[in-house]
Amino acid sequence: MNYSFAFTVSKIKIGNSWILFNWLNTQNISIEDSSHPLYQMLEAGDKKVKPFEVNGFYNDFEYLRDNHFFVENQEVIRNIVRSQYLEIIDGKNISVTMMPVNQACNCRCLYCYEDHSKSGLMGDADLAVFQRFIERQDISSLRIDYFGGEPLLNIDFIKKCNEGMIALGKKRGFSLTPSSMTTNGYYLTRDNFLSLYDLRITSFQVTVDGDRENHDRYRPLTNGQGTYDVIYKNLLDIANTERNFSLTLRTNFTPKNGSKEKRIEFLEKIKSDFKGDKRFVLMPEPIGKWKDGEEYKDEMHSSFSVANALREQFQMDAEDMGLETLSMVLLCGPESHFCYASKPNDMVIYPLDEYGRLPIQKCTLEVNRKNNNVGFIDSDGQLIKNENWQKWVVDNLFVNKKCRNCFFVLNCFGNSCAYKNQSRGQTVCPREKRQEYALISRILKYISNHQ
Amino acid sequence: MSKPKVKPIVIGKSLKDVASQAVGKDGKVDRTRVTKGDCVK
Repeated sequence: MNYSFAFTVSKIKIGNSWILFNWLNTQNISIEDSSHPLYQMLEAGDKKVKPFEVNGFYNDFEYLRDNHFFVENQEVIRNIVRSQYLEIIDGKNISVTMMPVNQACNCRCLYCYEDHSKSGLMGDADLAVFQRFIERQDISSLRIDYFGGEPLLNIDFIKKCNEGMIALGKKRGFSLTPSSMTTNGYYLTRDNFLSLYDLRITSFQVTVDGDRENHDRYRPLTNGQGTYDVIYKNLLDIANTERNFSLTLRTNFTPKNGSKEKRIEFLEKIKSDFKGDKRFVLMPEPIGKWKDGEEYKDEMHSSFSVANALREQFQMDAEDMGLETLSMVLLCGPESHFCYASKPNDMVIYPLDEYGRLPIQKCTLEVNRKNNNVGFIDSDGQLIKNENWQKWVVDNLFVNKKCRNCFFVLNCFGNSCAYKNQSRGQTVCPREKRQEYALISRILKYISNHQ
Repeated sequence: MSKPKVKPIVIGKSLKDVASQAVGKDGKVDRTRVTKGDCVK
């Protein structure tokens, strides 16, 4: 019987060792003995693999076959990928991003792309329509993520919504998956955090843009006052609780606050203040052209390649210090780079419009684009999709030939960005795919640092 | 003369094994730990 290396296996030689990394399950092996039959196959660049024995034992071959490093037919891998894809997009599991204040916000971040004049508070009437919508579904799980604007400007609604859905789930037999929230953290006091946590809101994203001076310049309140001290204190207070939350600590950086000196200073402060608390996961992001305008154009990165390299360096610096980074967490399993806007069971919900309907969008970045308006939930709770829905929801798995043997396909399922796929008329790959070997080196280093 | 022993492959810990924050109690990657909404293009 002949086998081949699964297409999800990356082969990389570091020094005198060969490493195999399987993106299907994140398992990896190394081999340094040049007389090992696998080593010799790798040196020779063999595509086919024949069963082999080492020291009279079959173990190495069996391990590699049983863990899908070797396959008789690549369709086996494609079937695993497709089955995971189908599980993720199954209509039994609905995921919604709730906009409880539309785009209203108490901050005026220099680079924000949103229109904060679009405001509106969700209340009992919104919840009643949403509840009718859920009652119409035959689901086993519901996930709600809160976004804005600043969602905590409407914390009462958020609490009622999760409370209501927990109760409805008990009645109707579905579970409310733990919720997440993207917040600027200004109102994420210890008390608010605890009350949200008790209602299953357990993951948060909060942004701290470097030191006080930089953060306050980038992320002021509407009256121009800084927010650093309040937000940082809130984070420290949360860290002092014993709850099992996860908080993504995002840092938007420019060449200025992302310089080596500044980022090391920032990371050392985080490490010292949060004492390596693994509930805090770092997410450095270069500021790009997120909005038009003069006021910050000198601050943003002028080159994508420079910005991406700097992001990677920032992440590696954090990992070298033993801190968690979101990129590593994401790479742990399927759908790390799968665009939620492309999923049929995923939608963004806005406050009731003048007709008593909840407007629906797909993408949280293209908030002001007309074709992002994909329908609404009517007052009876019925989801009415318009012609735009199908522009976003496209099954693109293995449609493009280049995806059929791509090591990264389990991470994006051919849909890393539904907006880019639409606007460019082709499958656009996530940037990580272009960094196969660099990424594996980073992963191996991360594993070694976390042994 | 006996043949020198061949060293077997070394199995490393998987990324999932070490990134405990990402893995739920059931052993599956816990996607709820990743906030949605702020996708970065």
